Amino acid sequence: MADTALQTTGLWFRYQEDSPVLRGIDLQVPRGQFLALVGANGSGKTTLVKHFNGLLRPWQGQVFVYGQETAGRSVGELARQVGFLFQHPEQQIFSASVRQEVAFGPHNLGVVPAEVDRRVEAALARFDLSAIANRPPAILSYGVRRQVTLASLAAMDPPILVLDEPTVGLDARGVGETVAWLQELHAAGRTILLVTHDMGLVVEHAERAIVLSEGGIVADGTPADLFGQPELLARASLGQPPVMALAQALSPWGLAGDALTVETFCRAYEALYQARSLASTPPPAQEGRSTTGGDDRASQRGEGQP
Amino acid sequence: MSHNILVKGLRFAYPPLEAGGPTQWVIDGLDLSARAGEWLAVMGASDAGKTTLCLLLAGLAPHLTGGTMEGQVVVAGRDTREYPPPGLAASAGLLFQEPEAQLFNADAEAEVAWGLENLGLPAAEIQDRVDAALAQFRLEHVRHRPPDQLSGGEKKRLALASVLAMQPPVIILDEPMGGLDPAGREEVLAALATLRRDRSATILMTESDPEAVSAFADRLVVLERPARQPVDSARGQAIALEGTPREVFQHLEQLADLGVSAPQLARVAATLNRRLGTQFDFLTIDEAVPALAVHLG
Amino acid sequence: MTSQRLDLYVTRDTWLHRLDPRVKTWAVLLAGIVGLAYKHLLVLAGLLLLTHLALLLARVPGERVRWLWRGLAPVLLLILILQPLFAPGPGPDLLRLGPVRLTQSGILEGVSFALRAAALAFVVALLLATTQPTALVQGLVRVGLPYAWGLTIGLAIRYLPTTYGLFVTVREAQEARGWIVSRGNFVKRARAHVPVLVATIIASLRLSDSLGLALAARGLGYPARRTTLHHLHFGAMDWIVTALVTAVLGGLIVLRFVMGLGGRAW
Repeated sequence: MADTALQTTGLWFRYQEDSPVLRGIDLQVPRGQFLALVGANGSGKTTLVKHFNGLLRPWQGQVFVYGQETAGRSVGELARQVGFLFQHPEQQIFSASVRQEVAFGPHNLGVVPAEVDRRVEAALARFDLSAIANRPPAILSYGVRRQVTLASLAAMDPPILVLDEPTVGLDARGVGETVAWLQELHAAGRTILLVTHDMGLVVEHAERAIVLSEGGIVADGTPADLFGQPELLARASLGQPPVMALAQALSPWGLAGDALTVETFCRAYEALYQARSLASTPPPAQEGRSTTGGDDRASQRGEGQP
Repeated sequence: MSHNILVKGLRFAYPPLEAGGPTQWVIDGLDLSARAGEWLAVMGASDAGKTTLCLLLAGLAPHLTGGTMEGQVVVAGRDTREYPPPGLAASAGLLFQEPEAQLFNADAEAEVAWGLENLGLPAAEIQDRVDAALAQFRLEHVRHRPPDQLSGGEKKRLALASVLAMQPPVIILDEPMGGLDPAGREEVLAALATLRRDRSATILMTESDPEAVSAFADRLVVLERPARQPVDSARGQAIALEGTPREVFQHLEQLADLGVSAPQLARVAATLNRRLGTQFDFLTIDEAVPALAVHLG
Repeated sequence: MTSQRLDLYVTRDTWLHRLDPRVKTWAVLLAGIVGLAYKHLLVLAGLLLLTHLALLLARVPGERVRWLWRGLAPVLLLILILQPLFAPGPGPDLLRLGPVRLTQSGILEGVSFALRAAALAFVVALLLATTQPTALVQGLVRVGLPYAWGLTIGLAIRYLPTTYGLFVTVREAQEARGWIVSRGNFVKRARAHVPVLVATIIASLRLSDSLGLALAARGLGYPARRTTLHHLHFGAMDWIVTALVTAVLGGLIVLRFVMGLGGRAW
């Protein structure tokens, strides 16, 4: 049990008299796993993850953190084990200065003052916030406020991190920085549960992906397993990264359909191209090969025009 | 050729956030124009001033935001310094990034009608335009539903319908794909496609989603990473790259420096070109499949 | 996706929902006068019964009605207990404990007050359950409220749940960062709410800034005379209900003030 960081058994949930949002979720997340939770809006993703730090309580079923049931434990207590990042910076920044904001978490956890200071300074430095540590968060830009929320979570140093859409509204650089941090945490053995719509992120970083649809788990496996099933993605209203759609479109030519990233696609394509040009070359006729190559070039340019 | 959007030597700084604090240019030295019927995309890092540009084009900045502006913004022949925003509403429509603040009526029908009522149109015409807009964006089934009960894609489409029903010659879209789930993204892409077929208005769209930019834009402008110069500095140059999406998306390394992502398939093309000596320049699946099929023989 | 319920509106398509908001506002006004003017148990009980009948016709779920009763219960209980004790009224004592007297008229008065409170609450609840707040405001604008006022009220109603949801989430975020709510004395707990309020206000200001821009962008204040898509127009049903309501409730008001009936609980 101790090797299981998060677990739910037969978890049902509904808001007041509404129809159930979660319909019998059985989920087990091993310690140290980088798990992505995907699904259309309204599929119950946020509702599910809010159970892990006690913000929501099961209607039926149980939730465990490190094998201990969450029932009877407050959100504040669970925060020692489960760090939670909300979707919007507006809704989770409440202190008068960036430094106070970052110190709020570790201070609540009862960390000794010297250690709080050390953690706060480290987190501020890590997210490039030291220069603006004394400024009010409200006047900072969206991207910087996002960084403040990450630093606040980092300073608590929880063993399990639940992040609800951490990259929404960030530009390419912001996404890159967030992902780099998650990779650091993962390498340090933290358990990461990432809720996201960014399939590229899932493909490149998650070890395991779970698809939620209408309150139930409809798929559970490696990202490669999942994205190899276009009909499943369509059913769960999930998009497919273009490179994957391209790989599938080229499968009649013999391209392996599980190319998930630009890099894996290009390698698979190169291998296929080389295999085909070797196979299609009649052994004695050296000239024919170069002519074919020339034709290819010409037609590519033709095809490339709008 | 008349320009529906004409921006000359534009600089803009918000009022300082703290009293006596520094004022810095958010947009520093922008020259931009778009012809009637043209679809112009603007990309840039998150603090490159894209939303500010949208507010300036709609005349909301500096009229309602305050701040310092230099240069000129002319929209549908109207200089925004001379036309305060309510009067400009018929000339330039603005789709905001967040639906929350722009959907404030009791139901979808009232939402679309609201702007038309402000314009003082006769009820019969309002009804016609509302019906047409709801039909165009496939929102008839939510006609009598309050906006906060709609999905993300429906909200975006409703906000779009509300802007377009006013039939402005210039339409400004601030991150139309922002914050949508994949299903909502597909819905809004389809909605934008109807707009693209129409070609009646000039469209300026800020967008981070390179696939949407390649699908719709005639021309793409990438804004410089903001230098945040103090207001007394010499005028800068806000545009880093400009051209058709196909041209701009060739500059992958420069785009990365500018904090802008390129279409995945452009990265595929560049990688294959480097490794196999090919000359692919596809951006979309529809272009890539035949090109690669021919290459494979 | 917040679970908060601040509006009472129940989305249905019954004739009560379709009724012109002006008719409903008129009916509530008259019912309010009757409820306040009469003390008689039968009239008040009748009014309460009538509103429940209307709630049933409007297909408001029983769950919602029970929820309202649960919310009212403590107030009603307080009235039932305190009214007879503090205003025993004339008549023979049923019970006497030192200065505390309990009389039959006192108890009846208490029941009358509680019935009145419940009846008035449900009359208003009926209006809000069957009328969109914005429709209500539109109705008021049609009978002479300036448009700017109507818009302001409408926006306040529209964004109330948003603001409340914001408050709840900020508080949740505070807890999620290790704040234990039950810890500390009252002052400490109250103080923890201050940053939450400040954060909510800042976020609301951000929202209202954006809202101001959105209103201007869609032409609020456009130099033209504002028109409206739906001229609220009275249908046959609206006239019938207006006539009926005016006759019955108006009649009751006349009986009360001209004939002096129903001034006592029994």
